Amino acid sequence: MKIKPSYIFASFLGLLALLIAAFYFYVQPYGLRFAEGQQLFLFNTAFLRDSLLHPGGAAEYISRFLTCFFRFPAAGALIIATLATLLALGLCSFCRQFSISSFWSILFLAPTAYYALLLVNDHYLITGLTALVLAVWGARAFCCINKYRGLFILPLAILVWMICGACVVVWIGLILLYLLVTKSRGFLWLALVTILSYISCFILADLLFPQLRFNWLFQGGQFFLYPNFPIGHFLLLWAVVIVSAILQKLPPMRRLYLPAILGAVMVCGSLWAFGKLHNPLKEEAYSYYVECRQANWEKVVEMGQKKSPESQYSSICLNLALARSGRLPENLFDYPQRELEGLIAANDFLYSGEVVYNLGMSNESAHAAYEYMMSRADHQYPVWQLCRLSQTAYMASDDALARKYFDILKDSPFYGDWEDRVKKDDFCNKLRENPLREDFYFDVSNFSEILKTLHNHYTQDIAIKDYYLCSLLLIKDIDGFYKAAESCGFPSNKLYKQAYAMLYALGKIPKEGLLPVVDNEVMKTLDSYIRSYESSRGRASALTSYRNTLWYYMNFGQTGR
Amino acid sequence: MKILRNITLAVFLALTAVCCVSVPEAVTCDGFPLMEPDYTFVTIPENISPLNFRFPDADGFRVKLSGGNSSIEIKGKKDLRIPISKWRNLLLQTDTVLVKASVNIEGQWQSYSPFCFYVSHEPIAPYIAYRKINPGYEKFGKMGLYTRSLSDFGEKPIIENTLMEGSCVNCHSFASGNPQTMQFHIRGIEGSTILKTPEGVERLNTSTSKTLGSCVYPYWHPSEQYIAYSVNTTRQSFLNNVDEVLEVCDLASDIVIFDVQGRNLILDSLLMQNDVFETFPAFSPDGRKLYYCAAAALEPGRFREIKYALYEVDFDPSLGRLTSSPRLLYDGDGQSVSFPRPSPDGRYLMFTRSSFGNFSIWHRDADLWLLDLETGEKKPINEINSQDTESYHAWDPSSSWVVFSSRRGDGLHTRLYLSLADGRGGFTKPFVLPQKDPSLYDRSILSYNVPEFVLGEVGLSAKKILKQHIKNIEIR
Repeated sequence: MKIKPSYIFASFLGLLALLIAAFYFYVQPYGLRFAEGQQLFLFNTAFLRDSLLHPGGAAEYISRFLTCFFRFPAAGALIIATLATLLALGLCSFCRQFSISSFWSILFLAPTAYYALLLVNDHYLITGLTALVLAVWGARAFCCINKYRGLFILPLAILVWMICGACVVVWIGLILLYLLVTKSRGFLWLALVTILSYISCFILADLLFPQLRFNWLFQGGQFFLYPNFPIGHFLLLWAVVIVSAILQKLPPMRRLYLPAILGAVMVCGSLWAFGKLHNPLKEEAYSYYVECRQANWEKVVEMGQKKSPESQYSSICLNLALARSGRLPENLFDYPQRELEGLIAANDFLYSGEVVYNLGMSNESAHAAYEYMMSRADHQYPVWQLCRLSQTAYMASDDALARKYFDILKDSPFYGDWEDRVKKDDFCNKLRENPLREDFYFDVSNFSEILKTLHNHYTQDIAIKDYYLCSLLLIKDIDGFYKAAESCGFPSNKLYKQAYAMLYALGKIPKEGLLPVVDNEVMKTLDSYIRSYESSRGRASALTSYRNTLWYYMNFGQTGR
Repeated sequence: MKILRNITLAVFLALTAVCCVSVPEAVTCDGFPLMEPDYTFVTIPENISPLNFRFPDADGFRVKLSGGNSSIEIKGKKDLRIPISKWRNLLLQTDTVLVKASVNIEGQWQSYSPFCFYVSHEPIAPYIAYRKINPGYEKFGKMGLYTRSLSDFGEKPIIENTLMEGSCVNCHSFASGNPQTMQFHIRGIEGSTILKTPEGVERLNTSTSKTLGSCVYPYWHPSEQYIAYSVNTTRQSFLNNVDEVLEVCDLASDIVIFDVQGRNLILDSLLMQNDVFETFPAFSPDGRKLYYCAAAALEPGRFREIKYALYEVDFDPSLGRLTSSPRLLYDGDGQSVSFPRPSPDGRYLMFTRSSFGNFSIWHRDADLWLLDLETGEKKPINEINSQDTESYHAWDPSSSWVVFSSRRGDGLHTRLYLSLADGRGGFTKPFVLPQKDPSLYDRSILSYNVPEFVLGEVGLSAKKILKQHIKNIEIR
């Protein structure tokens, strides 16, 4: 079989697509699942109409629909790889219109890989890639118009702008290139019309969208989570046009090893770049968060056992999972702790929102969900936050409000049965029957006091009791812990026994006769710890066998006995 | 050929028969159909946009609206959208629109008792201005100030915060509904007060070294020469009681008067007492009195004890200063008074009363009350109050209509309701501001608040405003 340049292109494109899919599926699956929860897609005409009524709305609508499938990482990986492939194929197909040698098509892998790589950073939305694909295929479709092109350019430019947003610039660029290369009759006139069509989009924008920023409308603002899409990436949209322009100037080559080398370089370069751009800390935090949201406590604990969490947010989720599965006082110090910040984070609405929800604070949970939703720079209503708001409204018996959220979610592809799921959820029902009515301000700096109030209300909730007691140990308030433990009936978990032993060692409680009973085995361990501490003068390396004890965490070395 | 003709005829007849099938055997029901919003027996202005509504439980409906010599018949599944031209024609011909509805519920057609819309010919301002905001507390998402035509569904932004990401726009206020004389605030990175007068638009920094901060809660003097403001130091606290979400307390608050001509602030120690929280100023329609609310200054921990009372003080517009000591108008009877708003004819004063504090929008017990300024009689406006929060309210320049915000829809998102005042202290059943899409309120999670009647559209170029330099104001 004779090897053709097109085979080389197809092979490397396939390889690149495989690499993209494999990366997202194996390395960043939770990033995809997280992205799914951060947006909303509804199957109703109002949502469609609202989406289509602004520039780039169609690309956004399609992207949001596709993002729904990111809940299945395999589908998400496949979608990104397919969009990237469609971009390369679109460019290839476009350039065939003016007889560019397929020899150089391999260069189309560059923009394809580039835009697939951008998505490694979750601030970039697939809207950009979708819009680019639509613009390129739109330019390809324009090439099929043989007559009266001048008449079509203006309405088409506006249409493409409304469909693709800022990517209309790619469409315009490719059309100009096509007209130039094919030496179309009346080229100058057509070029002028094309440029004027682009300018007309600016005039229309000022008339129709006076409240929208220029960079949102024309510089890819909606391709990025934050309003200021990096201008460099926007300029690189032109890469597809520039590459196409270069290609048609390059002479055809006969030696096939050159495209093969180029293809190999681009695929290997992409592999290297994927590794470079990947943020394992973020992926770790997302993995803990996503599993926590689904109350997969065992899975979260399992993840912690495999590898200790490195970020504060992962620690928060792991501690929450330990508490909800009744293991917090047994395993708290099996992992590095960050004082109170390992239980809840100040100025964070996402991870802390999960904690307050699972501790039964429906108001604060709704507050966190709203604030997180409002802080989304792209003004989307994340579907997960709507789900949470429906839960908190249901828990607070605000049935009319819960109904509103349930009704909204009914039109979403994967949350249509959310109402049933909430109403069958024991946790929600338990809190609905016994809602908080204590009057207290929520303030993270006052977390232990809040937990005390919660414990007094939900006396049977083990997770709240453990959060309460452990929060005092984490802030090293051993006296406060004693009083709290007393109110909880001196529970006899591993960590608490260590605390009792420490209290005894400090001379704050007698060993026998009064509660709590100080465990002899624990006392022996504490004695050997203190001996090690004194002999090593508190050197951490000499105390490694005590790393998972309260004493080590508190740097306890001086006794009061 | 003949066979073909016969088949065509048979198909035509069959189709005609299907199409002509009217409502099958319908069960007659007492009472009215479940419809959202509830527009049964409401009184509406003659130029209001169609009262579109929906039957949430229906699989189909047939509705006939009739009055005078005109009628409109509409069939559909759930959402009833009345053609605007036919609606306009109908309202011109009658004072009472009769609505007959048959609704198909789970395959069974049910005919309900007819109900009415009463058409009032009392004049009403053609527009309403309001803020649309997500019910967040610290972050705002996308929000803005808008004007909405009452006669159609046209809504236009005055300004949206999309141009200054993360900022908040609030406190829009018009001088007697005049769209050419108005002001609003921007809070955040581009923070300033936008003052629009016939002379032009200016951006002002209303914070001075002698006041507590930027000016809020504006109220225009009828002469358009002054704006009364409150200046507050505020704290927002989140409660975890399911019955209450949030409490916003003043740590300090005073009232100041801004001289629009001189671009300076008039301070008076009477309204700036350290041991008193003064807030919510409002000028009387003749411009010779200033109404406001005041409470003893307590620390935020005692927020349930902070009760505002209603006061008035004389104001001389020619001198631009207060000319009497404050007089107590209403002590709230153990409750707290906020948002005093005199009717433009000077007869009544509407206010919000809640159990404590001044941020009544977060108090479920907040209701609207009416004070007769001639007799001193006070009463809750039972015709328009609900079990949920009623808070911000405004009078139409003719004193015939009021608009107010209420959380009665779903308990959280405020909606705007209109009601006709009969001039004797009575009000008609309020109706929610109609929307083109009758399901909008069900699916929107935006709140509509701070409604004001406006006599025209506000022509402002937000982009131009933001390019302007911010000017500091002086103390007179």
